[in-house]
Amino acid sequence: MASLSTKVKLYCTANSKTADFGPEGNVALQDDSDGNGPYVKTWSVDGLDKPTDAILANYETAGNTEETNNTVRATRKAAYGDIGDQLDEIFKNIDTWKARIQAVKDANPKS
Amino acid sequence: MQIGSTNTSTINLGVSGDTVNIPSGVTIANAGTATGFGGDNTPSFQAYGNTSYQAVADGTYTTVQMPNELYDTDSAYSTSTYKFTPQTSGKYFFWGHAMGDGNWNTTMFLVIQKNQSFTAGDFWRSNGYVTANGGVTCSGVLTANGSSDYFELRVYQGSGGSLNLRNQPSEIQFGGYKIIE
Repeated sequence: MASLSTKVKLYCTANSKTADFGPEGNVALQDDSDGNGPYVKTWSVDGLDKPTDAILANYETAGNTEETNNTVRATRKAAYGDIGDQLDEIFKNIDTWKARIQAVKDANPKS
Repeated sequence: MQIGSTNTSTINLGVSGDTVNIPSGVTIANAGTATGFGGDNTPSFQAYGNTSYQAVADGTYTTVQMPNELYDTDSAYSTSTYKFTPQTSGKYFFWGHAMGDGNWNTTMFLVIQKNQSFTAGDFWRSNGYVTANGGVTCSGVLTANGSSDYFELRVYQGSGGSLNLRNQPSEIQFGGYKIIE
């Protein structure tokens, strides 16, 4: 099941807006640890209404895909290695670097 | 000079409205029991976490679950809702501590919050980048009305996925006490 934050992000993106959950952000999500799960505590996205549960449910499939791809992105990032080391690798032989990066992408395809 | 004797139970100084002055340089030495002076920093409590991991969803201010108490002088902390609701008004000093499990590789925000408010003066926030079971500590003073005001410890992370808090009681804590005013 896609997380609430992912579905809210997709809802905002689909409406050309950006959700910011951080400090002083425009959306605050809360989980009171009472078994009811996360919910939208405050909403102040300029020009976009707070989504209903039904609207957010429409983003369930896309949300699952996005979260799967986030995992792939994280795996790829770790496999790419330190950016400084990559620059050194590129300097020595860019073709070897490109081949290694391509192998990481092939081994970790996105949905 | 001895004031009072073995058959004296109470010695009164002055009457209502009077002022009893103790001049500079005088020492009051108490070897008995003193009551009615100062205060005792209560209500106070100290709660701690369980031996199970708590998941913290991405981008979500999540109440930290602490179902155990080291002490709770006035039964003001709930081990089921994790809220501290003191029934004595005044200023309270709070502290909270939480550690992430493993390498979060992102920033943890820890918030001590009154009535779920993000209005200045109603919350304290601290943060730190968490790697290798790293943690964050937050502390501050908040004011309670002595009836409905409640206080919680919340944690936030924006990694893009769910992350766990540690499962050791010594690593997940929330406490507070009333300041003597």
